[in-house]
Amino acid sequence: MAEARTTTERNAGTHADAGSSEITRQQGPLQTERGQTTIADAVVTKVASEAAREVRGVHELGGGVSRAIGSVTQRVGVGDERTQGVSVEVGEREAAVDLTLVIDYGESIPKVSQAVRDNVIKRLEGITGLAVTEVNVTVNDLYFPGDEVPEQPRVQ
Amino acid sequence: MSFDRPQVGRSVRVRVARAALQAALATPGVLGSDSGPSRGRVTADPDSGPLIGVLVTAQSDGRYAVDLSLVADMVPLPALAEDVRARVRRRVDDDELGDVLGVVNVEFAYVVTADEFAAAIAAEQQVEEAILAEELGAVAAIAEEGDEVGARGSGSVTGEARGRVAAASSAGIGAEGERRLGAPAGEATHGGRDAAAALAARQAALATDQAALAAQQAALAAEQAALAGERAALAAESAARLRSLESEQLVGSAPEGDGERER
Repeated sequence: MAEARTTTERNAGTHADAGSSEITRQQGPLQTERGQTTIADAVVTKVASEAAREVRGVHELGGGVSRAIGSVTQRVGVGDERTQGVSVEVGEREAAVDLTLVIDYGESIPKVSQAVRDNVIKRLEGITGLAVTEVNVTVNDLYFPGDEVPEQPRVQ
Repeated sequence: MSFDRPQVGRSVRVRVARAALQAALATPGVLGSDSGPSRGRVTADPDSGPLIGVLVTAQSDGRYAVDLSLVADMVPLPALAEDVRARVRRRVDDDELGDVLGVVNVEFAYVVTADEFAAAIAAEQQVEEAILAEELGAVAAIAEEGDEVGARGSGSVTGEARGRVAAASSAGIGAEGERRLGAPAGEATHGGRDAAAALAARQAALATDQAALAAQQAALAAEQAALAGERAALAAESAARLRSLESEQLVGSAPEGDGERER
């Protein structure tokens, strides 16, 4: 099992110039004079999950344990396949995302990870208006074509 | 002294809540409302039931803050929130409540992808199909019952009723239901807006069908009651005729008996 963790601190300058524009902080796209817009965790989770799945080379989301638990919870109707392997922290203006991926064997893990990161940031900022501070990608497993075919028994 | 309940349904707070929720749900891109975290975004409306997804709070300046919790299509949410705010403001102004409206806070509790929406539409169609089948079965059972009553009593009224039910089932409701259920599910996936409108139209049509069925059932019940009355009248008439025949026979036979007795 291959496992790699890549982390990018995006918008590293955000904290450095945080005090320079208090007005920008108060009047972002989500905070206006006419009211506040709140994005629930479930929304960020869903968008990040969809964005990660759009990237070529991503076979599935979730670790072995979460996929096993997910398959059980889905069977009893309490789980959502689309959100397993995604963990988010959402603030009023920013969000951080942790993803656990299974990548197709043969794809470059750094390239796929970077593509996932870029797409998640693009989708999240476009749809929710939240600034994405970091996207942490954990590659939990590799998928080999034919893994899903059950092995033939050696004896009958 | 009267202890009547105050007119809660006509309170400013409830009117603002109702107008805000209706305006929000009519916004393209908004697919529904949600009671939000801890199920707190609900306002009790005595007239139309609980308003799920809206909470209106009186502020110290005399205005009312509106908190909405919505389910949306996967579109840019800040722009959608602004659209919702503008529509809520317009609607509340139309209701002459614009002076009391404060901030409108919008929370997006969930977003739905096109695939999920198509699956939800398909599930809804299955439920509609099951309900329609059940209702048509009930109508057929009533018609059969009408047949049995007709076989026992005079057949003219039940025949007419059965004909009406059969015509409504096959031509009107049945065909309409089949046509709607036969509509391609893919049409809902073109966009959340069109799909939501299509879903609303289907629900409205189903409600109309249900009302028509209920009316037909009531008409059938009334006809059955009329039949029972007819049968009772027939029985009374035949009993009266029998009694008169018996009395005639008695009158005809009385002199002979008297004569025999005299002899």
